[in-house]
Amino acid sequence: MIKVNEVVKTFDGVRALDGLSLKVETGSIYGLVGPNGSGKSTILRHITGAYRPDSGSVLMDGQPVYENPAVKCRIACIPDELYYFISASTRDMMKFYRGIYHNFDDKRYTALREAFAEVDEKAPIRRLSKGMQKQSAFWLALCCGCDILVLDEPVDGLDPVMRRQVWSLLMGDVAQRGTTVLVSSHNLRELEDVCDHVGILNHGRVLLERSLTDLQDNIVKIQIVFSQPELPELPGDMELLHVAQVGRVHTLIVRGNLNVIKSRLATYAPVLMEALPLSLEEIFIYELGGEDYAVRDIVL
Amino acid sequence: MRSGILFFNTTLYRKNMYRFWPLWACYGVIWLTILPTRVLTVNRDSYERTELYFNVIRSRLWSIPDTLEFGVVFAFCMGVLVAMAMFSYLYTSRSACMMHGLPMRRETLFITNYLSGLSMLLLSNVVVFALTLAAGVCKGVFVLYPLLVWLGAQCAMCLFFYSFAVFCAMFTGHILALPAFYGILNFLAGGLVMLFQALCHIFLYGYSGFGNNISEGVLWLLPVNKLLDCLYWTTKGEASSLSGTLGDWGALLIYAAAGVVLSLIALWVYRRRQVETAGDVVAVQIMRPVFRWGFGICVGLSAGLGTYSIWGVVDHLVMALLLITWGGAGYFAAEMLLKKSFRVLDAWRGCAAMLAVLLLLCAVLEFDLTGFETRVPDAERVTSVTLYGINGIQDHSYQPSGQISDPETIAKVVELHRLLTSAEGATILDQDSTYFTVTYTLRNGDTMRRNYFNIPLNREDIDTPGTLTWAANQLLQDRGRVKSFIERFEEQGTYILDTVTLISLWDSGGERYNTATYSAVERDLSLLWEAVAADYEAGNLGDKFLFEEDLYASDTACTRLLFEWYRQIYDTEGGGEYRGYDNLEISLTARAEHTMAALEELGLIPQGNTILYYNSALNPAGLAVPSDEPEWWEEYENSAIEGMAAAVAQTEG
Repeated sequence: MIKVNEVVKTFDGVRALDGLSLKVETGSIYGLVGPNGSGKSTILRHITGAYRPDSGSVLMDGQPVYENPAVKCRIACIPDELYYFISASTRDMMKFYRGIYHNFDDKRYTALREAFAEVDEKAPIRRLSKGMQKQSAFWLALCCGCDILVLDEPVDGLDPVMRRQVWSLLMGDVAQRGTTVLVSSHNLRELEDVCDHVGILNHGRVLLERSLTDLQDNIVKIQIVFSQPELPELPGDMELLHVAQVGRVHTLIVRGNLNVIKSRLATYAPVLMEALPLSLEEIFIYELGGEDYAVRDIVL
Repeated sequence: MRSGILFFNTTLYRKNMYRFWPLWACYGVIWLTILPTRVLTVNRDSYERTELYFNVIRSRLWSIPDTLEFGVVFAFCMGVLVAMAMFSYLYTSRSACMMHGLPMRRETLFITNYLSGLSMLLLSNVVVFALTLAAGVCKGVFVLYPLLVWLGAQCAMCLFFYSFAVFCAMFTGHILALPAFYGILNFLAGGLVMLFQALCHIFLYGYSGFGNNISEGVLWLLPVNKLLDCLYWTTKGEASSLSGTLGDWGALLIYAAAGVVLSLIALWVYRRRQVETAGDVVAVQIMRPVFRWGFGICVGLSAGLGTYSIWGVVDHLVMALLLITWGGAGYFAAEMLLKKSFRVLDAWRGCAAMLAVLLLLCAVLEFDLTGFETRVPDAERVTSVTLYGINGIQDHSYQPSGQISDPETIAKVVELHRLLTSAEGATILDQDSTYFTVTYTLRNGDTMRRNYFNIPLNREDIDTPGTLTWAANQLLQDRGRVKSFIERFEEQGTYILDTVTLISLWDSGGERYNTATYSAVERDLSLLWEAVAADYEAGNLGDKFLFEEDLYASDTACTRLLFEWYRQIYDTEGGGEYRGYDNLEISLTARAEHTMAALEELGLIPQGNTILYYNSALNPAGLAVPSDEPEWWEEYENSAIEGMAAAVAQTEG
């Protein structure tokens, strides 16, 4: 289990992480989402042990990550900006990682050659396309024998087929080896399909952190039509996150339990009332709307 | 593959050696083209005798440590290049995050990278050493010692310069800043001393530090200069049995030890360094104010003094304004480099504090708050003085100078110095001026040095006690000063007379000045020296004049005698002996009867030449001294050219 406790990180007076805490259960796929500059990459660099927190701690199974090779040996990372030695090929990097990671799996490297067949393992990585470089990074990361994968915008640049291929490999690792995956992405649609836990970051803090099911159960999207065109005055304690109207149809985003909300709205005798599933993207937008993030800009 | 050593990773080491092979290959190849090839290029067929052939090879092997001077510069350059390569991952965010995300402690990363770079240099040295030794053996000569000297010295220099570059690498996050810091820090101490001396020279009346040699303490902070100074290689003996010594092993060992210390400090800094500083000019937070202040002060001093020099003004206020203007510009420039932005005016408080310090420095110098300008030692506290200047107007080149311990002369020097301290800014009347450089050796062992130029002289004051002109004349007329100088040459067995030159003889035929030089080896010139000493003792030689009118009214000749002496000096550092030369130049007078007689007896005045006097009444047919009297070396050159022309003509004839 990865446990991040009250981590603070300041860059030239700017507080990039402001007492951030999160918890990633072993064997889970944890999606880290948040607006630009919310601190996603920064916390991932702390989790890989590259950055030293100003205060707070990053622990893996109770052991600090920073300057702890035994723990770092269990973490493989694919950063948003890949780095490889200049002129190094995938095979060269494989040899390097094989010497660094004690559990590097040669057989898996050979086996995965088929999955990443389009990657020329002898060609310098810098000569490969962006998508190919990403594939190369996945190939290597999956062979390091690590039980934690830290992925920062991992499928950015991959074509849809390869995305599915990569996610399939990751899900297979999670299922078969109990690998923990911590992934940050702006592609919420994709995360929604693979993550079982989600943490939403804003201003260097975790705004909320729940399983995807809990998250979806806690916000309700209801389309409702009343006999009169206007929306009646709803109770003040009903936590409305968003209201929109198209014709006589009102769309309400409300925080709370679906059944409770439906029963309370039923007292207004609506002509029509229907609960709709809420996407992760909608949850992200409406949750951050309450945090004074520029939802309006996004809507516009 | 698990590394067996806790703080060393073999995979990373091998990767470094593989990735950066052009560096060590280039270093090794350059040395190989210098060392073994000098042995291999000796062709046996070119020598008739086998022994001569072997001696040439042996000589070449023994001269290998001569290349260490090149080695200093080469190690200086390669040190930073290798450090840039080894720690290049610190200078971009993606590489820094990748490398620090690997399962290695920082100590492992540092030590592995450090040893990779060091071994690139040291192993290349060992290979070059082995191949040079092998080349000698192949040619039939086995010489080990000079090669070991080369190997030891070159390895020590590589260790120091590479460690110093690594030390600099830890303080920056920008790959281009590393060579800049490294280059600047290698010469910073000397540069700062010179700039400060130049500033004192402007502000402090009588300051003599500018242009002086850099003190030994500061020289240690200039490793390139210091190593170039101490790595001289001397050999002695016949080619078949040569031996050699390297100048200063101690200095080399001290620098090597400093290299080890610097690498440990670098490790300490590396452990605390923040990875996110990749790309920053200064990566260590605590060093940022040091960088701002250092950059501001250095820019202020160098650009301020440069502008002051270009403008050619003599105004302390202008200098102070230039100092703070350029200092402020430097401070903001440093801030721009740190912030990577042109919006730096919010740093004005720090800038104001630095400028206040610079202004304070100017004020301390301008108002002489240290009492430097008015400090004159009591004559009783002075054991000796070394004096230059106040020589009178008729002397041309070498002047009687040297250490004076006569209390009366010392009192005169102190008196003149005391009067000079209140003469700052005095107007020079009638274009008459002189200079005065004095070094006191005090009873407590300290030395005190002052330097005054353009001392204002006024002929009307020459007989008025308490005036500057009077004091200068008192010192000028001090015959003991010259006498002490003459006596040096009379010490038996110390000095040997080498040549005597008659300068500014008048060649009546060619109507020009002439010079005649005579070697003491070819003829006995001691008679002339004894005559000069006798005339000086009798007061017939050694007249000195501050003013031209007095000179032209006297019986002084513009013809002078230049005695050149030498003595054998033992070289305590390099061994062996060399000749140290000293000179005495003295103007002839009409009443110097002993000297004139000796010149006549020895026949030293060439046919057609005559002694010319300033006072035209003493010259044949009232001949006047030409106004464009040439320097003696010009006359010497004329004579030499004429002599060569005559020799050529004689040969052709």
